[in-house]
Amino acid sequence: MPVAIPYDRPIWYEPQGTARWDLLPFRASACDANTDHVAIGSDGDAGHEPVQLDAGDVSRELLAGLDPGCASLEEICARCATCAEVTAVGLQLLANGDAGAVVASDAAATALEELQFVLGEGPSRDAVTADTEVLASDLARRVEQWPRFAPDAVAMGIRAVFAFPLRVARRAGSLTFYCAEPRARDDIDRMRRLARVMTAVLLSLPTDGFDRLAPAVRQAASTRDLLHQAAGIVSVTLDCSIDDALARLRAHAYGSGERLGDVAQAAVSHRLRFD
Amino acid sequence: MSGERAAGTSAPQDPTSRERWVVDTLVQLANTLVSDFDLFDLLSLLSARCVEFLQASEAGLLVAGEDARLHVVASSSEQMHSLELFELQSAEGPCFDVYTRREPVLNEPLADTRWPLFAPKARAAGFQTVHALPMRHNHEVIGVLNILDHRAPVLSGYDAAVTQALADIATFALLQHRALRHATALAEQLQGALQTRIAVEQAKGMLSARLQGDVGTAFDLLRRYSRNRNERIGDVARRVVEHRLSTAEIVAGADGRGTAQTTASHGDTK
Repeated sequence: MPVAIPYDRPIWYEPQGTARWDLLPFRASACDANTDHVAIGSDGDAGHEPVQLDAGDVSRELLAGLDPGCASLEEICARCATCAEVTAVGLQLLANGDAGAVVASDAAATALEELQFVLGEGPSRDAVTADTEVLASDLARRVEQWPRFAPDAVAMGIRAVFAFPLRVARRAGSLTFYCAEPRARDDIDRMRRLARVMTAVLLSLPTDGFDRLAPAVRQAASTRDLLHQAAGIVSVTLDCSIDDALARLRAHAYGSGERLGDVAQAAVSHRLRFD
Repeated sequence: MSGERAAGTSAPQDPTSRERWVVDTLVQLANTLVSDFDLFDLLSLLSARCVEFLQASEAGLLVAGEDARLHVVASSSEQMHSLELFELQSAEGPCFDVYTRREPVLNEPLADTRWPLFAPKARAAGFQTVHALPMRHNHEVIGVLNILDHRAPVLSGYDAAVTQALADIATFALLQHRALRHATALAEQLQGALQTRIAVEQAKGMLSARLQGDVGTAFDLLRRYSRNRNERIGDVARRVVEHRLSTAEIVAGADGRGTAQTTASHGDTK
């Protein structure tokens, strides 16, 4: 019996292959295969099971007036922050099982996502690793879980963090909301909807190899270019693996309190040497 | 696929039990759809249930491909499969009519006047009657549920409605399957592209450190090597990062044919 179905153009795509955000499958399981998961590690919100969401309303609000062809992910993150009325929103996209690209609504969100990357701990990382929502309504009570991230984030004025794993058929990244004050359950539902819209946005980004990364993703990935160049340099200098070199760069950033990007820049321009 | 009823059995005939059977079947199919499912198992189960419900002889599903032509995806038997293939080859028959006219064919005798090629072939296989129902989506027909019966026409309006519901479930399963498959492909592309970019940057760093030059020069070497070898820069970079390609080889390969052009295909990369 023949088993090939040759036709596989998705139903929400126009024949020309241009994305139609208004047709995105917010209810389809392709968009989110884990609607039935239960949020773990939530304080005060335990046992709150996400309901099947219709993200259509927030998607209209979020994407109104944006051109799918040239809107940047930063812009969409910033709109997420406005829509959810939170301080900052960070998006990480996975590559090699780690944050291959980080996008943020503003400098504060960049710092919070970078902090997690440097420390190797935090809600965004847990959301991706455990593939579950991480709802920290009171960050100050999470010091045991994130001994270094929680105090630092609190010092930056963040009191609550809500991180949602993004799935595009499989784990693709996370969307994290940073709030200056605790939030009600309805607000968290709204964030959950926004995370689904973000998944749909990722689905609409055509990517095909090095040269044809969607501009929005290319821009996001370029923020990591220096870091990986630096990792290459350090791996040669120290004769170690790329992963170990990355760990050294992270450790240096944490130890010196410098931004990871500045450390990477210093290594690439030979102002910083490891030995 | 859990099928507590073996294929070849038939649904109960008294109205109450039959109603119950229909509900059970719809529940079973719906349950399958909300979890991970194998499309072909599901469509085969659906064909089998159709045969049981109608006490018909055979059922099969044909689906329109990207080329807008019908393809056989499930058949209740080998005989049905070859008849459907014959119909596709001769480009004539009930499925074609449903596909082009977008209306069901119900209780239609297999008459030579209507299908001069298909009807004799189907009658020779022992069939008298045909039903074909559209798999509908947004006013389009994306496939056909085809049923052949060895009896004279007996399909009631109720039978037709239930059978159409089965065809609609097939539609939903197919669209769901395609959406998931497309999303998986997209996720792989996105991650692959990010991973390639990372490997290129890391290789630039490694080469620049070994040659004590800057990363721009290192990238130029990578690019020239790739172009001379007609390889993708991402693959070359990955070999560098994994220590499967030495700096000396890159330098030699980059100078090798000395015809490197410097078009800025990766111009945005620092």
